Amino acid sequence: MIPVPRVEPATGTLVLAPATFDALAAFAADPAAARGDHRLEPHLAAVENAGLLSGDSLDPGLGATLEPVVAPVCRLALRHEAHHSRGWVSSVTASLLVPADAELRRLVRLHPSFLPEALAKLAALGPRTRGATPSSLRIPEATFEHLVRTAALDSDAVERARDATPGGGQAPPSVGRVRGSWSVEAEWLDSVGETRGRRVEVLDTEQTLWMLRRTGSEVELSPTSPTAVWRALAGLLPSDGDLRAGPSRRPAAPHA
Amino acid sequence: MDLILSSHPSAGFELPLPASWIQIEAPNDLPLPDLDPDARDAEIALVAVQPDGGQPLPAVLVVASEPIAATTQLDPWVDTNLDELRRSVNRLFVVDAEPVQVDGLPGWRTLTQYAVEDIGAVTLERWLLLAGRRGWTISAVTGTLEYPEIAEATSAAVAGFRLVAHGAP
Repeated sequence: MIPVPRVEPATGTLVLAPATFDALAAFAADPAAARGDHRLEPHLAAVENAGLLSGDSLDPGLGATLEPVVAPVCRLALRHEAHHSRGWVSSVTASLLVPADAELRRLVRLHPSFLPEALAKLAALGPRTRGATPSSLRIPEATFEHLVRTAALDSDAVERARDATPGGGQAPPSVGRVRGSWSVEAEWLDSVGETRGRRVEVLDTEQTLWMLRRTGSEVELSPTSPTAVWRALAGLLPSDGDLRAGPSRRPAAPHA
Repeated sequence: MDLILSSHPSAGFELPLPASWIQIEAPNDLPLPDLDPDARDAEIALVAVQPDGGQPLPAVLVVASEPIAATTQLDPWVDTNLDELRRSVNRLFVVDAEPVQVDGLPGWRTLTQYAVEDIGAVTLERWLLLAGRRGWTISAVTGTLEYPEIAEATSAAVAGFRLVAHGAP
């Protein structure tokens, strides 16, 4: 049974099943091909039942929401705990597909300048009491994943991880227990079609926020602040210069 | 971004500002309320504006001060300021707030975002400093997506903020 998409009266936001969203995105990109795909038909029928699709005509608001999905300048992928959200950004608008509950997603359209706020709210970023700033630390990636999964990245665990990793960095006196972790990745194509991107990954513990950087087999954790995370989120999207960037990392042609 | 020290001739302060920004002293007649609604009631001593580089909103740094009652404590003054901001802008989102000390003055730094029609999301970083019977407010406003471009310069400007005696060299 495919849930019929519904529009939330208070916000005008569309709530729908993930597969229905995929069918809608396919329809917005190529209506004739989508109509010819029998796997998509029940989902498109559900959208028709919701009054958002008639023949080949999408509701104008929904059509505008799907514009960046069809022709994105940049794609976003947010992971927060077990939840995954996706985003698409064009030069004038952005759309986010975020969890509404265990089964359904909420499709939100917003001005790109509001993306940092939307991502910050999904990650519960906000003011917090500051303690003493701990040192940065490095721990093996497998150990880190285990500690985060079991929410057991307390000071003892960090000490054990450090002891198990010769030269593995300084452990802080205490990092507190893990409150959560999240990451967001932005990906775009530069002027020659090469994939570029930026990534922000944050661990939230009782003591502080940590910015994460993965370096091969290790994870580097640097203490950070909501302000620094905001700055990273605000700088996530590609600038005009990023989009114009060519194959600068490729070796230059040898001199004749 | 290069900074140059700017001394205010009458208000009694100095701070380093981005060299390319346009400075306007004592601009109380400037139409700034849409960008910084709270500034209406304060005595604006200096406005520095980023040159127009095609961004949705050139960044603006405003230094203002206001008389403070002798009984005023820092935290309630900061709370009142934030409440007034919440009432005067659309969709205020508070990102960060922390106690700070600038030039030995106790204060708070807040980082907020609000919505401005036809522009989009705007980030406001504000330092509220208490100097005896006078409250100093330094506000940096910019489009949210442009915040990373100015954050370092505005933080450096505030870090270099000094109260100086009137008539001092």
